[in-house]
Order: sequence, then C-alpha cells, then structure tokens
Amino acid sequence: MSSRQEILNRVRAAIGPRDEQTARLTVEDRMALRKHNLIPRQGLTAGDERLALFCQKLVANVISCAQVSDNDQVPAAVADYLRSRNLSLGGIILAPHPMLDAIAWEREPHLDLIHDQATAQTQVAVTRADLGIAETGTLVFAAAPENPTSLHFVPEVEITILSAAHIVSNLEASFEYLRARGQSTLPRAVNFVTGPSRTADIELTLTMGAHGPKAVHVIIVG
Amino acid sequence: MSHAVTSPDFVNNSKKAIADPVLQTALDRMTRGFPVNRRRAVEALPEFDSLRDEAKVIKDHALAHLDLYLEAFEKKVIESGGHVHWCLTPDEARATITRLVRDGGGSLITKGKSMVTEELGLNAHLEKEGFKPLETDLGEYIIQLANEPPSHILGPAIHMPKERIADIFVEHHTPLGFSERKTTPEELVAEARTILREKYFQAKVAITGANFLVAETGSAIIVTNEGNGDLSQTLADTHIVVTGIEKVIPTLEDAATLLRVLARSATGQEMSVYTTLATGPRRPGDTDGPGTFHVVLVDNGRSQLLASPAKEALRCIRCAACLNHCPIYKAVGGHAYGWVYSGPIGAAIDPAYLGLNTARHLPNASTLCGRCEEVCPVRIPLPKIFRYWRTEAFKQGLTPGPERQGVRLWAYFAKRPKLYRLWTRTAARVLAAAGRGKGRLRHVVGFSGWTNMRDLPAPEGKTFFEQWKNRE
Repeated sequence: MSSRQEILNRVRAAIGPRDEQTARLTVEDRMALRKHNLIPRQGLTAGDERLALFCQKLVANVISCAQVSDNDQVPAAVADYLRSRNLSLGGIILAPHPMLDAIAWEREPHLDLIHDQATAQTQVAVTRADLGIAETGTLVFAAAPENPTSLHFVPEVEITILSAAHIVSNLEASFEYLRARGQSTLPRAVNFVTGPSRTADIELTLTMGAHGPKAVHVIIVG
Repeated sequence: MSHAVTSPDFVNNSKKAIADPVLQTALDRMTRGFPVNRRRAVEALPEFDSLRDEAKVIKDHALAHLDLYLEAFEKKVIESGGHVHWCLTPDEARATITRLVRDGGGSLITKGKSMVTEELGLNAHLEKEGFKPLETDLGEYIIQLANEPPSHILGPAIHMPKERIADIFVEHHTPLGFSERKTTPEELVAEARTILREKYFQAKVAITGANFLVAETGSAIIVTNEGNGDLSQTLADTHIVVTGIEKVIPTLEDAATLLRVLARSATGQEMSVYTTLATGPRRPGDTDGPGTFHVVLVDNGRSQLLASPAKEALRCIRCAACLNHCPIYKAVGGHAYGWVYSGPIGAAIDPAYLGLNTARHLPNASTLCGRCEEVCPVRIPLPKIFRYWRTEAFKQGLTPGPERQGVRLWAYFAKRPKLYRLWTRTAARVLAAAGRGKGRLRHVVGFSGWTNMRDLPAPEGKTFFEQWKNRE
C-alpha cells in the first residue's frame, strides 16, 4: 500500500465512523461558499476612516508614507524620498508594470530608472502594490510578469505606488480581489507585507533589516 | 550532526539548567518580554477571545475532515502544477526530500524555518548525503553554526547571550573575511545579512515549512518577520515545502482568522511582517519564482495522535505563547525537554511523536497551573492532555517503583478520610512549629527534592478542613 493510502486510512480510522456523504458535502460547500468568519471592528472601516486607519497602521509598522493627488506627482515624491534618506537617484529598478511605465518619470530628470532583475547589490526598487489593507496596514503584492516577487525582498529599500482606490478594509476583501484576478487559481505568490524586515532573534532586541528591505515607503495616489 | 534525544534525562537536564546563570538571564528576559507584548496586542483587540473560539472551531472542523481536506489540497496543488509527496515515517520523509533535493541540483540548500525538518533531523541527513543545508532564519542560522537544537519555537537561539553569538560569528565568519568581532545585535544582524545575501542567489533548492496549507487553493502559507523563507523560495529553482498533515485548513477566510490570532499570540504583532502564499511553480512570463514546487506531507505519529484522547494538541499553530507563559519553561528553558518541541506543547505532543517511554517526564513538568491553556489561541486543554499522558504512563507501568508506591500510599490515605485528616493535621502542626517565626522551611526531611531549590512555605498550623469548620 502506498504511504498516501496508509496515511489516509489511518486518518479515517482515527476520525471514526461518520456519514460519508454528509462529510463530503460539508467540505465541498465550505470550500465553495468561503464564508467569512468574524471580522474585527478595525477591519470594517470605509471611506476616510479607512484611509486614516491605513496610514495610522503603516506608521505603527514603521512603513513611511506620502500621499499625492495624481500620477504626475509620483516622480517628485520618489525623488524627495530618496533625497531625504540620502540615497542615490540612479540605478533604481522599476518593476515592469504598465501603470508604472505610464508615469511621466522625465519630470524628475535626475531619476534614473531601469527594468532589470534584482541582484544582491540592488539598493532601491520602485514597485506597484496591488492592494493596501487598512485593518493591519498591510501591502499586498500578487506575483506576475509585471510584478516580480524578488523586488519585495532583495532591494535594501522598496518604494511602492498604491492607488487610494485600492485600499480595502480587511484581509477577506483582499482574498476576493486575488480570486477574481487569478481566475481558477491564485497568483503563484502573494506577499502580504506589513513592515520592513526585522528580527528579535538576538537577545529579543528588535533589529530592522534582517534579510528583506530595511525600509519600505508607500506613495498613495489619489 | 544529529541531536540526540535527551528527554529521558529531563530531571538532570533541568538541574543543570537551573544552575546555569547565563541561561537564567536569557529566560528571564524572554519570559518578561513576550507576555507583555502579547497582552498589549490582546487588549487592543476586543474581539480577540471570540476569534480564539472561532480558531478552535476551524481547526476542529479541519481535523474532523482531515482526509477530505488533504485530498482537496493535493488536487489543487497538482492543478497548479506542483507535486505532493506523502510520508508516513521520518525515514521515508528524509529519503523523499533527499531525492527531490538531488533532482533540484547543486549542493547548497537555503532553508526557511521549519520545525518539522527539525523533527526529521533533516540537516544532519542531508549533510551525510553530501549537501549543504543552510538555515536562513537568523536564530536557526546561529544554532546551526553552534550545532545546537532550537530552544524555543519562535526564537531558536533565544537562550544565547550576544557575546556567545559574537564568538560563534568570529569562529565561522573569519574564513569568509569577517574577522572583526561584532558586539551589538545590529552589527551581528548586518554581518549575517551580508553573508546570507549571496547564498540566496547561489542555492538551487529552497526548503521551507508551512504555517498553513489551504485546501481550497492548494497554497502553502509561511509567516516570517525576517523575509528569509520568502527570499529562499523566490530565488531558488526548486521550492520544497516540508510540513505536517495537520496544517491543512479549508479556506483563505479560515486562514484570516488564524492569522489574526497567530501573530498576536506569538510576538504581539497584529500581522507578522511577511505572510506569503505560495501556489505552484512559476507561471508563463514570470521572471522569478521556483520552476518546480513540491509539498512533502509528513505524518510521523500525527495520525496516531489524532486517534488518541490527546488529539486536541493537533490544533496547535506553533505560536509559542504556552512556552512564554509557562513557569516550568521559564525555570528550565527549552533544551531541558530534550527534543524539538519544548514547553507545554512539547509535553503534549512529544510523547506521541517520540513514544511515551522516552518522553514520559515531560507531561510531569507541569504544576497544572493552566496558564498555557489560558493563553492558547486555539484553546488546547494542555493540562488535561498532561493528565492523560500521566495516566497512560502509570497504566503502562513506565513510572518507576518508588513513584508508583508513593502514589499508592497517597491513595491509601486519600480513600480513608479520618486517617487522611489525622495525618494532615499532624503534618500541619509539626511543620508550623518548625517554621515558626520565619514562615518558611529551609530543610524538610524526605523533601530535599523540593527544598534544595527553594524554601517550603510553612503552614499556619491548621488544615483547610479545620479552618473551614471554624469559619462556620
């Protein structure tokens, strides 16, 4: 007998007698209906309250944030952030996203953006976040050719552009978006990012920049 | 090198741990830090207890239909282009993983944190087979260099002072060109970051664990703060998820509830920094992500545990809150338990995974104070499970003669109330007289096991029954 069969047999024996048809229907229904469990009050905001909570949670998570009214202001916002942190405006990797490509980067002539793969030396990447979740101040990135996963982990600093219209209230709302996007299957990787990389593995001392980005900056558009 | 199981030697391990001042400092720091962070997070979320109730129900439902959810999960993984491997025993799991690693090519393997691979002694096995598994979680990296087992589920190196970590880094990093001794946590983290950075790009194979498997989507979820497991799986050509069969849950909505209680119970965060859902291999047009995706489902005693009265322990989501709040863990630390899982959850599951004969001391390492159950995000009745294992050990004749005779003697008195009261009355009077003035006793004949480590509070002279009677 295969180990698969042996494990399943043992599990069934452990569970004991049950009505097989009811059990199968229960399981199928649960996966098809995907009912929400309890969503805490902080996950049920809307409108201005939602935006305010999102920004408040970002700060609590040590994610810095700027808000601009339209895409034309994004290049200046990126340059301002880099200057404020004393970072080079050159050699910045831009995720190959059509929305990012459509931005008038020439408005900031000193910004030098390239489409490239991240390497161990990559300092800064500019990406597009699919969603923001107000409940916890979380950014959601769905892997795609225009949104390479490595850009969220390899660079020292990640600057991400998020449309204000893409801020949702809770985790559950982000799942609905992801399911709609991927049709029958989820995107290959979905990264929920709630801060810059950190560790407390040495003497329980909170230390930033363990393996992933040391800083995350969000530019909210709209 | 594989770490020997020292659970049978729990009593001696504990004595050594209590006498180790460096360890005691570390334990003190940890058991102060974690509970405060958890409490803050819990107080900030009024719905926390209701979420715990739901989390328990979700895991119970998943376990009551485990076979069906495992089949559904497997189907979705295959649909998304991945592979699922079922392993009944540690031997089978090690052999399966070795084969997958060999197919992946190269010798360097980056590893995310996985308690199941600790359970399997996987690193030792892979090294024997000529591979170089490299732990990338900072705590796991440190204990791998030091060749020690983890002492805590969340902070595997939490027992070490930074000076020791500095020494370990000097020893292992000097050949790599980092000979200067670093002293602050920031400098030590930066050095490890620099060294590991290149490795993520070099490794062809990454092994991670999973916090949850989602049946509905065929996804493996990992939760980290460092981003190490996420980097590992993103940059390798082959991603192997090694996990236990009990990790499967029905839907993403169920994952949401469990995530809401997990980080708060563990570190006091609302969400850990990185929650990553991995569903199958690289898709057409993707410029990164693994080309091959495997999930290795390990049983190793879990189906047997599911058949036992201790099955509620399978709800565990490995947050470590029970360790952080346990007076015994605080006194002896993780290594004394002698195996991968320590603290209350270790005492509940180690007897199932190691055999009761090997782990029978662990369920005794509890005062049954119940703090572990109070803080458990999935409400595992840990004290009840300890009592079950204690009863089993007695039934199977595993407890030594003097202990059995002691229990029999106590039972003899307990069944004869008059005699019992006479005995306790006498003992209360004698001990009260002996401890007069100080209110405590340094030495009691026949009770050195207690008084060697701490004073015995002296009774006030009357038994509970007497005081109750007088009250009326």
